[in-house]
Amino acid sequence: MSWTDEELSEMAKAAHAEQTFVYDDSFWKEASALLPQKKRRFLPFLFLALIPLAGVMAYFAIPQKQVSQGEYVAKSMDLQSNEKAQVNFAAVQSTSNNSDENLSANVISADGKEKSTPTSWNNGSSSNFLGANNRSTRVKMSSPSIGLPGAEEGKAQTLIAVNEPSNDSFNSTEIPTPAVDDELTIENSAPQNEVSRPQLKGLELNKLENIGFLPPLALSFNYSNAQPPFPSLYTRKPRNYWNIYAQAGYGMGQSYVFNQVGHTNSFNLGAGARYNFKGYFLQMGLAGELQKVKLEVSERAKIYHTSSTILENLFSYRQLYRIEMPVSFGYELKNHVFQANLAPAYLLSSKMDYKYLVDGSAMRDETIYGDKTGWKDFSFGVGLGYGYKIFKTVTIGADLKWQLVNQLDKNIVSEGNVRPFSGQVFLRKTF
Amino acid sequence: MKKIILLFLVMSVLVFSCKKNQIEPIPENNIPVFTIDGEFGGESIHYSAGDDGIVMNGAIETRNGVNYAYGEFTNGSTKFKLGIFDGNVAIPGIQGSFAVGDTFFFAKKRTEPLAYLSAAMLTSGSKINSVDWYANSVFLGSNNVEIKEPGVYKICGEFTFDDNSTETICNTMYLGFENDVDVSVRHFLNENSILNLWLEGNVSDIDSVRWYFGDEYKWTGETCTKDFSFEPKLVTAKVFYANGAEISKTIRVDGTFNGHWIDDFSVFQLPIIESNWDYNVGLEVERNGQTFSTFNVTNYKGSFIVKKLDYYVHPMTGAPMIRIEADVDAKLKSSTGAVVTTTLNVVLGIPKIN
Repeated sequence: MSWTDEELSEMAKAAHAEQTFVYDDSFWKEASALLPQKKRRFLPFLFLALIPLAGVMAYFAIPQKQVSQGEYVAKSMDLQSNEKAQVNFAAVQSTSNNSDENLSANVISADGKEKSTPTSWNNGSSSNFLGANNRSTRVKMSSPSIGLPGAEEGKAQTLIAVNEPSNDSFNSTEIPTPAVDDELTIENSAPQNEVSRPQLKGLELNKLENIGFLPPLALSFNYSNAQPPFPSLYTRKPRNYWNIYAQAGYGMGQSYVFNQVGHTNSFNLGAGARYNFKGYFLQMGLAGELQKVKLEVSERAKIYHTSSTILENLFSYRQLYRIEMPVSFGYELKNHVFQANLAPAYLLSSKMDYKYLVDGSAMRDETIYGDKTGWKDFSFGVGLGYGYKIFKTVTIGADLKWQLVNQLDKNIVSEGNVRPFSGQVFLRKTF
Repeated sequence: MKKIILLFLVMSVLVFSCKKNQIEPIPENNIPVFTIDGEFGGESIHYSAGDDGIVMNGAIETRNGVNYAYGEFTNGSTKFKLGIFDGNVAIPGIQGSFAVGDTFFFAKKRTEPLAYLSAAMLTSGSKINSVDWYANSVFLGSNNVEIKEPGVYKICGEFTFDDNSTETICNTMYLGFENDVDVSVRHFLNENSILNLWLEGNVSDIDSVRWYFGDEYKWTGETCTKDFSFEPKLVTAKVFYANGAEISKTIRVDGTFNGHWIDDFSVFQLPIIESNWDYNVGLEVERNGQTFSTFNVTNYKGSFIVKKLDYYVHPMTGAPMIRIEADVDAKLKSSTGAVVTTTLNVVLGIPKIN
């Protein structure tokens, strides 16, 4: 069974014909009215939230390691049923987005010869799907037999055919030898919201039904110099394994004391071990944290004797040096990382401006390191975090932490903020 | 694993290499240490050292040669000064005996003299034209002087004899306090110029006596017999008691037989009528522009009862003190003659005596 280019074009046009967008100005005004006017106090936290977004955007801007079309096509095919499928993939290129414009295809026969001319699906304009240099994406395959006779550089070729993929093909680099059908077949993996399933069935793609949840461009479009948008979707690590990680973070938190304006800033750097199992991970580490604080703590005592003397210690804490021992349990869903954290911490030291006053006269006025007056040695916090893997081993994310056991000693600083919230963005690299 | 161990080592070095400066915590608040609570002239009063500018000064002052340890609450305009006299003042090293429950009496100024200094009291008085008297280097008067205030006095007389020769003799007198060295020197010079010296009074506890003619040591013993054919000369007996007390007694002996000798000053001491001031207390108050004192009024029913007694170390200076809590019930007389009564609970500090 085969279709001519004209028939394909008509079917594509029909599929998109009903998709129209009507601009209604009232909708926009209504939506505009719902927008928040001013929330400046959340600006710092909004800034934090934007950082991971910026990271995602940066991902698209940074050239990625080339992942071969063959790899991810092969792995996606693994998701199919055991039903035998013989699919010849044509080199297809999207010249625009995958929605409604400039979708066209070159249909390549099994022997590598073009069977049809480029056809416009939507607006009738045609383009060379193989790119300006008429170059197809080269396929890296472990099985040399996947390469078809006649496939050469600069020519379109049948990229892959999958026959009875095994369930373990995710972990295997072997790809079944394709069975090439003499008949020309085309797999069209346009998104389901763009091309209705009945139409696809009409293209005898019913054998690929169960791969519909994958990003549409991943299936059959052969990119020329294109990058997969989410490479990790098509790769999977071994099920259980250990690795280590290093992490750097920047955080902001509520002030330790209610009546003192300001917030804390922190910078941390740490590393640890991580155990990965079935998509979950458990990681334990050690992180040194420099926490910049603005905290005034004073001790005052009136000592009665033959008269009385007022003794005062004024501690203007500037920095806290903490060791955090975070334990995180998380789950990785494709590139998304969700984690819950337990964060016991030990206060190592501090930097502060110290004054010792006797009846108002300064007896000592110096910068002191190491004193922990007003602080407890140990603190404990819990938190939730989200991360996004911008690279295979690099995750950027954000944590929100709630300090259950405050670092402040309430016996000295009675007005302390009992359980301050803090948030941080982090960058994690696993090895 | 190597990486993990290396990481642990690096972190450990960072943790334990930090130099830490520790600050000694300041002491905790305490409650007032020295206070006065009670009534004064029917008015309720409360003073705490350290509040409202009130300071409690504990010190020892010398009143007529006797230590008077006191605690004084003052803020400039108001003053409560409560003190206690030393006792057994002739014996060095004796600390006043304080115990909980002890009752101390209020000292009162004498109306009768304790001593009468006059050349007429001397056996050679007829040969003396005049005498100028000094007590503790303070000129008291000439010829006849009375001493009413108890104290330990170094009495010096500058004698002028009938031939206009002069002599100055000084002796210590314990007046109004227990005299544990109550001894006097007697002498007799016979026609052969043999001088006999001996002691009278409290001689039972004497350990030794050293005799000097002028500055020249002559003899050790309770009596001394020497040839004395000299011009008039001072003879001194240094008497040492077993309890550590000592006293010097000086007389003038005239070897020329002109009658220009001077007896021991103990002859000036009058019989004791009122009780001594050993360990007596006194309260002086300046309040509302008036001065009140227990010294000016009889306090037969007055009392100063020790309720609590301990040592106290001043936290700032480290000076040791005796902290006394006592109930005071006394009458005071103002300079204008007004008498007020007071009932107080007092916690005061006095320096350790001796």
